[in-house]
Amino acid sequence: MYNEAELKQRIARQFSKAAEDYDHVAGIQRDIASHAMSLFSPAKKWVMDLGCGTGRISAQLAQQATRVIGVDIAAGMVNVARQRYPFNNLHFEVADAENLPLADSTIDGVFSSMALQWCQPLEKVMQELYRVMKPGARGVLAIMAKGSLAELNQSWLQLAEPAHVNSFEDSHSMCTAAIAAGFDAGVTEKCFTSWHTDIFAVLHSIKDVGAGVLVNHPKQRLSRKQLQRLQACYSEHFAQDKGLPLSYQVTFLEIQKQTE
Amino acid sequence: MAFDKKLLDILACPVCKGALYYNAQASELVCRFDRLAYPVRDNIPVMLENEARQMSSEEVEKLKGK
Repeated sequence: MYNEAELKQRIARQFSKAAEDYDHVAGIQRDIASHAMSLFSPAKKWVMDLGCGTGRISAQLAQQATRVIGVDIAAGMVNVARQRYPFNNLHFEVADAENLPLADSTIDGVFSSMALQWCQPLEKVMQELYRVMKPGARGVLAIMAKGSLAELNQSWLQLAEPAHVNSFEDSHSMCTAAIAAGFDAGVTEKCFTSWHTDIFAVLHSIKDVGAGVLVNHPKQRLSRKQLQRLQACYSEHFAQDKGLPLSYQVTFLEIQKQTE
Repeated sequence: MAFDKKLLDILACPVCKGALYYNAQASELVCRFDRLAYPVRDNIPVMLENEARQMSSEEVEKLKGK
């Protein structure tokens, strides 16, 4: 196990490495963000994109809001975002979602897609969001939930190996964390599936977007034999005409800070 | 594009959540209370405690007159 600071640095490094190519490989992340955007009512003034990555969504938000701040812990991602979208009303900063460098009651809307599963349990992030949001402000947070990467998880289980997959919270506990912080909150869930030719493609689809850090297994290297067994098991149980599926069970958490 | 002062309206120290002073010369955002200087690299503030530079009290005193 890593300590918290080491883990955050490792996650930041992985995502920074993936920054340049992220938008080519992150197809499913794009679909999920689009769905989250359809739930987000554009706020005036300051909107925060938390876990902004390469800034694609931040740039879209900047067309609707007066000012947008994209926040990410990975400097490599934020640098790419800055270069790609040099808009006057779009700002970026490197920061940690659990220790936001923002003053109290300054943010009018919060958007976040596929980032906060790295901040489990969500209590601390929720408290920070509540602090920085203005009364009445709303947020839409798309978070990977329990059931995500289930095919991979189940295949490891079949092989009686420890799952080389991160675990995720369920919608209920996410919602509970939001309410405990003071928010009005509601959740919807949606499953997204990506399709792959073989097990290498499955594993790469996770690694290539920078999401390969395993929270509980610091130094895992899979042997050739392990991969062959995994391929066989995965194919046997899940293969369909379109290839090997990989599921993303996503919770869309909608929060609002009550007006005083 | 230089570091946009508009950001200062909302930025705060991630540790104490207090106001920051922008030291344009050093390209740093300074929390006088915590004596921490956060670097602004390529116009992007890096607001992580472990990336901040610890300042001496003399250094902070000097900035206070400004």
